Amino acid sequence: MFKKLIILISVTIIGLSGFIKVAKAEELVISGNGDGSSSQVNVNVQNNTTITQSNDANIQNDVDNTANTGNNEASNNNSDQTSIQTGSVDSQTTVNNENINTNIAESGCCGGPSEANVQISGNGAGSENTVNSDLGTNVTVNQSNIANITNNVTINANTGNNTANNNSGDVRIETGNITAITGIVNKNLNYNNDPVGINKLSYSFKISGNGENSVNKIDFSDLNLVNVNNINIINLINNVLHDLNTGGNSANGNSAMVFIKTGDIKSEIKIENKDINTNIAVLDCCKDPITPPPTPPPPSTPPPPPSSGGPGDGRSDGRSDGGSSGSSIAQAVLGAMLPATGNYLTFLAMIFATLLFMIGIYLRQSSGISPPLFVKAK
Amino acid sequence: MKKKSKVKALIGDFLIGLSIAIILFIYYPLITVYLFPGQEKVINAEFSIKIPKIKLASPIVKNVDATNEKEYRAALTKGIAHAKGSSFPGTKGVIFLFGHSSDYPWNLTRYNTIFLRLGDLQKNDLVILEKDGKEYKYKVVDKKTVWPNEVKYLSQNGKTQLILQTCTPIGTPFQRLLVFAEPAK
Repeated sequence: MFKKLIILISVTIIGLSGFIKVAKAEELVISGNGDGSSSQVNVNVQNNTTITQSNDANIQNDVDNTANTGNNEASNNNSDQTSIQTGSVDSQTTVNNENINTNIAESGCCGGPSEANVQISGNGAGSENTVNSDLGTNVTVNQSNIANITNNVTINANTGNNTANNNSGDVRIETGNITAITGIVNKNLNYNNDPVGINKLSYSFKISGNGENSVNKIDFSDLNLVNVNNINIINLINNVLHDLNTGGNSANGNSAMVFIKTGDIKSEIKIENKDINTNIAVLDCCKDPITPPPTPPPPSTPPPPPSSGGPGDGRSDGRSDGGSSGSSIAQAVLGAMLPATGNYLTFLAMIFATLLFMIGIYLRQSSGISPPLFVKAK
Repeated sequence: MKKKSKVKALIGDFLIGLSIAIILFIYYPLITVYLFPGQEKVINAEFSIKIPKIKLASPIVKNVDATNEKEYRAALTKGIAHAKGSSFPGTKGVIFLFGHSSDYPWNLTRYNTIFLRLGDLQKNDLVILEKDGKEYKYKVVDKKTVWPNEVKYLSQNGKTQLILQTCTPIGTPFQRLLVFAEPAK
């Protein structure tokens, strides 16, 4: 009787690992160049990764269930007693739509530290040494899920419509007991899990031991961009019809006692729509704090070298205050709290002072001396 | 009976006087800042800040660990703190400075009201940083009151930005006031 129809499950799992790869052990060294030499190293490494995942699921579940123990007839009997006794229709239907359109995009986060070592050292006097390093990662994750799901469940049950007419004896019609349970579970539909991460990077910069009047410059940038675009569409229709009947019983034209008893219909419909259109995008960036450029020893003799014209804080001798133009500010504070620059004690002291004032007023009033002691009454 | 009443009245007078003294002590800095705003002091420091609108001038302590309370509280007794790892004027990135709006009551009158009036700053107000004798001007573009764990505003967004932070409301570390400024063109 049960008509099981189609359950289409489309599960697409695409696991991608290590889609963000930044140059490992990047080592840029300018050293041992003679006086007055000019050296320049330019490095540009850009990693662009695009992941596109698209799922379409069209599911229709039709359940049509008909049960009948009714429509009984006992008429025109001459016996002392005519009896129709029925009951017990038990119909149970379960429709499960689970794990439809699942996307998992994983990256090789924390797969191992990468390094970038930049060093300008041991170059001669008056030399010009420049390192331009531009590292970048651009990750785009596009995920699109479309699920069209229709669940149609129709249950027809009947133990009624019994007839006992024109009997000469007692008539007894007794029915009951219909139980119809339908459960529909729609779970984990359009589920996206995007633990996108960026490899660990550690940096080290060194400018040291260069000759007088040398101009040394390191421009280093590392820009990581992650875009996660999720589009989820679900058209979910649940139609459930329970048409149950133990009534419609008739006993007419009988000459003796007529007894009709019915009852017991239990109908349970349960629809569970759970975890629909779930996107989990975790940007798990496991960067080490940037090691700020160390302060190299000052040139042995003044005057300071001419300006290199590059970005800086007004100095061109390679000295640094430890500041960074990278993402170190976020790392200096992120994962903790913004520094507390206030204290509750001031507030508490104010409350304490107010309490003292109130007590003082109370004592002054309850002493019965007025005006105050230091003002003599005339 | 009369003597007892006199003692009671005396204690009452004493407590009233004491409470008024405490309140004056606590709010003396606020009263002076708002009612008798002085002139900007001339600061002789390698790194300093001036905000003309609120008559603020203070030295800046460089490279203070913003995650180490002991360290930054010590630094804040000397002026405004520059968060370690943040940028410096003239370089790209975010410069993050933070200072007291209040502290322990017994410290209030000395150095803990530097950023007391930070909330008075409005869009286009001028903030001047001085470093190694060179002046860098910034204009206020925004301000926000945030919860202590909302560090997202400090994330690098490619902008060159100055962020000033203090606690709010005054006298509590309940929330943080962030003032955002960008280099003046």
